[in-house]
Amino acid sequence: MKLFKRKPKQHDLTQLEDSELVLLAKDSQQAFGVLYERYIQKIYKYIYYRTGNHQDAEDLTAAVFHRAMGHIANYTERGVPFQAWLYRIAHNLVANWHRDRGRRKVIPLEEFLGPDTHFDGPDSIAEDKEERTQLLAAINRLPEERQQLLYLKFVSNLSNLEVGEILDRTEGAIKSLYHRTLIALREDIEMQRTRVGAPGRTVDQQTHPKEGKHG
Amino acid sequence: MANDLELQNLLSAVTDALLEKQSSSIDGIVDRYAVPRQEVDNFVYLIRQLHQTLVGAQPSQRFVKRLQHDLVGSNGNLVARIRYLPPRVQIAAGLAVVAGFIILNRRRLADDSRREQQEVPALQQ
Repeated sequence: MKLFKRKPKQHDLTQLEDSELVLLAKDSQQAFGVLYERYIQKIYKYIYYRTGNHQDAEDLTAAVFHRAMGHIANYTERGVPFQAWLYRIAHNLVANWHRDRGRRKVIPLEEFLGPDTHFDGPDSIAEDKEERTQLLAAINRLPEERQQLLYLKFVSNLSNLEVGEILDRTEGAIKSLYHRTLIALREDIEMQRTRVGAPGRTVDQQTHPKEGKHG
Repeated sequence: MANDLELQNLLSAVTDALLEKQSSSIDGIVDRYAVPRQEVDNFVYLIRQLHQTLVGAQPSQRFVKRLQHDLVGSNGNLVARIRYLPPRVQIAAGLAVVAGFIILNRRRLADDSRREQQEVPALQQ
C-alpha cells in the first residue's frame, strides 16, 4: 500500500519530458528549475542574436523566465509545446524591446563571427571573414520572419517541426520558407558584390571555392 | 529546374546533417534526391557558411546562476526537501517524530505525578 505518493527527486526530474515537468512546475520550483536549465542557453543565444548585445540579452532572458514562471500555472499545452511557448514569449519581449526603444539592431559583427575554419594563410582568412561579414549583413536585410527562421535553425539548432511550432506554421511551410530564404540570401549577396564591384566569387566559383582562386 | 519540393526536402536534410555534425554524410544525402548536382552545390556552400557564421553566444555562468537563484532559490526549504524523500524514509521520519512526542509526553506526565506524590506528604505535615 502506498501511503505517500513519491515526488521525483532532482535527478529523476531531469529524465522527464517537458510536458510532465510543466505539470509538476505548476507547484514545484524544482521542476521549473529543470526546465530553466534545459532552455536557458537556447533562449539566451536566440535573444542575443535578436538584440546584438549581452546586457540586453541578459535582461530580456531574465524577463522571459520570470514571465514563464509567473504564467506557468495557467499554461496548458494546446498544440503549443512548452519550448514553442517560451520562444514566443521571447519573441514578443524582443519585439516590444525594439518598438519601445525605437532602436535598430546594433550588431557587433566581429563578435558574431565564428572561429576561422581554415588556415590557408592570412589572405584566405581575410577573404573568409569578408564573406561571413557580407553574409551577416545580408541576413540583417532579410524580413523579420526569415531572420527568425535562420536564428532558430542555426543558433538554437531546432528542427523544422519545432520552428513551425514557434512560428505557427506547418513543417512543409517552414521548408518552403527556408528554401525561399536561401534564394533571397544568395541573390542579395550576389547583388551586393556586383554593386560594389568586388572581385567576389561567381555562383560557379562558389560551387567550387578552391577553383575560384586562379580565376 | 528540379521539383521544388524535392529541393526543399534536400536542403532541410543537408542542414540537419550539418547541424548534427554529420557533414561527411552530405554527399550521400544529395545523391538520394532527384535534384541536379549543379543546382544543389551553391546552396550547400551557403548553408555551410551559415553554419560557420551563426555560432551561438554563451551566457556567462554568473548570469545563469544568479537568474536561477532569483527564480527558484537554492535547493528548497526543509519541507520541500522532506517531500522529495523516498516513502519509507518519510514513514520512518513520521514514526520517529510521533514516538519522540509520546516519550516526551509520558516523561512529563511521570514527572508531574512524582512531584504530586512528593508534595502531598508535605501538606499533611
